[in-house]
Amino acid sequence: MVQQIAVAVKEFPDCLNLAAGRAFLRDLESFLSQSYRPQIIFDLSGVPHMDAAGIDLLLQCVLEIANRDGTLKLAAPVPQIALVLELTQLNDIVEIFNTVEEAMASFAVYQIPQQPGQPEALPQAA
Amino acid sequence: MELGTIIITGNNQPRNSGPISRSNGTRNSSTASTSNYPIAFWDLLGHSVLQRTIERLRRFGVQLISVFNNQESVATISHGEPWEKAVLDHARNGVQRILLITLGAFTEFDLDDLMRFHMENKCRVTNVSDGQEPLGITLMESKYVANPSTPLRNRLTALVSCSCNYEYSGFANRLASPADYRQLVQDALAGRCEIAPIGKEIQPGIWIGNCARIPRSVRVLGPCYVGAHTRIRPGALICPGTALERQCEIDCGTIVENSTILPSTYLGPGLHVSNCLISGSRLIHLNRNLDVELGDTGLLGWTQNPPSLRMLAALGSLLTFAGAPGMRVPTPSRAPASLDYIRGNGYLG
Repeated sequence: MVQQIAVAVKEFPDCLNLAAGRAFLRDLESFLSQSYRPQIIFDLSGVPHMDAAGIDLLLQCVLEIANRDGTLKLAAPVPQIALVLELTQLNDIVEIFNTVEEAMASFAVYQIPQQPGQPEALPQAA
Repeated sequence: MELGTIIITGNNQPRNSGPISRSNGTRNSSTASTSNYPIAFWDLLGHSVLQRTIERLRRFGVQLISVFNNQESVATISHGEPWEKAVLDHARNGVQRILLITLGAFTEFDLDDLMRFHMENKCRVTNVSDGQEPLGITLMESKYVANPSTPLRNRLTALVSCSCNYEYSGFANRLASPADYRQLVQDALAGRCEIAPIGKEIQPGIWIGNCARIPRSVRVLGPCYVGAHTRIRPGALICPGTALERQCEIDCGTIVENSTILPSTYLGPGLHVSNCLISGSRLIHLNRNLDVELGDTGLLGWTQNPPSLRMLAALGSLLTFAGAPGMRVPTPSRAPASLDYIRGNGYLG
């Protein structure tokens, strides 16, 4: 059985632009204030560099979302960003997917455990 | 003199075996790292391959050793290169045999055995190979090559037909890529070759260089190497297979696992470095085959300059109201502290 859940996909800003980072955080906070247990994907495909400020911004987002019992997943990081996430051990905190579609799929599909079937009839004694 | 040795370096620029992702092309001369040099110059448990080769030749009693750094391969070197002139000088000065080492591969060949083979077979030129390819080691009789009228390269080519091949079956590493270099480090730490780490073995498999600073809270698991004047901050974890070369700084809580950190490299706090080769802000991830420059991240870089230089930089900043160019002071990342905060608050579940 598959259950669809509303997932917000947001493009993470280029971390070299501090103003854009602050604006992104404000937008996220306003979005979170109207959401219940938000499911969010950050699309990192447009982020060529990530410095310590970018990691900090990401961590603030993780905190904000965690405070509202939400879930954050990251999608489509370029190899350098993936390496930075691994170096800083952020990959232990947040799930990372190669594409946004994969991240969406990980949210959307819930496997309901199979109900136990009818027990087979016992063979009759000869 | 019986034997003179000429070592030619610079022919094996590091290359990766597959595609390299260089996603940040902002490198400049101020960030030139050790890993830009030939691998023979990279520190390997305290001394470079070049130094170790010279030390090894000295142990065999070779007194006359000349080192040349060429950026071209021997095959393309033109007539009149310095090493070629050195060969002629050696021949004129009465050196009977010349050992020409193109320092690419690291080998532990027995020079006495090579000399014996060369003389017993009355070879003019003896090439050393490991059964697959030549190892860049040639022993030649100087009287056959000391003819200044024709280029040495031509004479060597002419002598190929009558050259002998000495089969070497011992330890060899071609050092063709950073992965080969890491393999050599691991072989040395595991005692699979004669390379001895420069330092004191404080526990089996753990070598510490002079003046290395390691607090009690640091866990060091062997086999590993900590180079001279390297500083490890509290809470760090040095895992097996790791080599921290001289004057490195590993900040608080960082885990270094199966990696080599080349000299004067700073690693920020709370990082997890695994299967990497790092020099300054350049990181080569061996498993992912990635070669990236992370200078802008503030996560890693060069160690701080000495206090005297920092003082000068500060004075310069005061006078010019701007940072002195070229003085790279790493900015520690605040990320790990945030990570600890998140973990401490149980957000990881």
